[in-house]
Amino acid sequence: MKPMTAFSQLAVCMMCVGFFFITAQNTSLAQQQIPTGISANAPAPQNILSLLRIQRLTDLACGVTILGFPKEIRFSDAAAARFRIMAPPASEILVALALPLRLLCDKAETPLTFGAASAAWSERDSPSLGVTTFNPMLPQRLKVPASGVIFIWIGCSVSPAKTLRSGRYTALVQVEATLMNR
Amino acid sequence: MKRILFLLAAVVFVTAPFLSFAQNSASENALVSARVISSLSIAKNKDLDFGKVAQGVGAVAIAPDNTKAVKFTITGEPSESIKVTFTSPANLVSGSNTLPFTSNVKANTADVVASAAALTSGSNMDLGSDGKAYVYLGGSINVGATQPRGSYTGTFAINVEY
Repeated sequence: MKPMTAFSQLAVCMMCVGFFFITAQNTSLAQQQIPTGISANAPAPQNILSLLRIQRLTDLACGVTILGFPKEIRFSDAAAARFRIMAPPASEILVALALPLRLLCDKAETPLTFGAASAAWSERDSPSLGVTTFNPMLPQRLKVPASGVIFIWIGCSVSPAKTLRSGRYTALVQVEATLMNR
Repeated sequence: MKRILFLLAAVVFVTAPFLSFAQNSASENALVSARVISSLSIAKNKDLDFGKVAQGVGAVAIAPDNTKAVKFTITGEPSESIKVTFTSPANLVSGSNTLPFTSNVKANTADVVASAAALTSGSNMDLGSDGKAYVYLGGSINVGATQPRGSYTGTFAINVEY
């Protein structure tokens, strides 16, 4: 057998270190998110997905809106969209929202707008206690509290023109969260 | 060359855990919805006019199905529920003189007064499939022998809302 060069030895050493990192990380993540029923050798993708989760709690329901009359749903209204983000405590996450510009009903559409204070977040599940408002059109870098939970509320304004035809208008708002390096 | 590839592979292998950690993300959607409906409008076809009434005639009534009655046409979103409120004057007034007035209000989703039902203020009713509803206003006055002469008027106010 040909002896390994110093370079080859270094490469092999780095591979071992990498394997160690993967194994160690998988182990810690599995223990953090799923205390029982999973081994340290669980596939990495499952562990990574379990690090950060978003749940939609309520949709954004503008309700009955009369033609020619604008209607605003504030983030503090019960009709506002509500999300729960679960992330590792003390980590930082980047929250970005994909906001529709209009509501659609077949081929008809009506403008949908979001103001600079249409959204808010809080570690408590109450939009009236200690919330921080933010512009939903701009990404937010948030520090995850010790509870590991962040709630987000999103309101909007809809302005159906007088000439619009009546009907049920819909669109999707998307919340995306990315866990930043710690 | 082999060494370079080997080194690159090793570097990727070592940094892979950090890359996956940095790109860890999740997303979720919420539905935004609005039920857009027509605005409400209401229009009267005429005012309620008892005409000339002689002193001492006593009770004079205009029934809701009388041609002299007022018809309010409400237009809005088909089949939508609305709330109708109104205030009726207790008296018609002529200067400092008053003449007791009692309204008689009926409503229907079709323009058929014969089958209209009595309507009290604050009641809910549905618009018809054509988005219309009708309110008919009649009333009565009682003119005694000592009722001072004059032109007596009052305002009946009606409001509709979803």
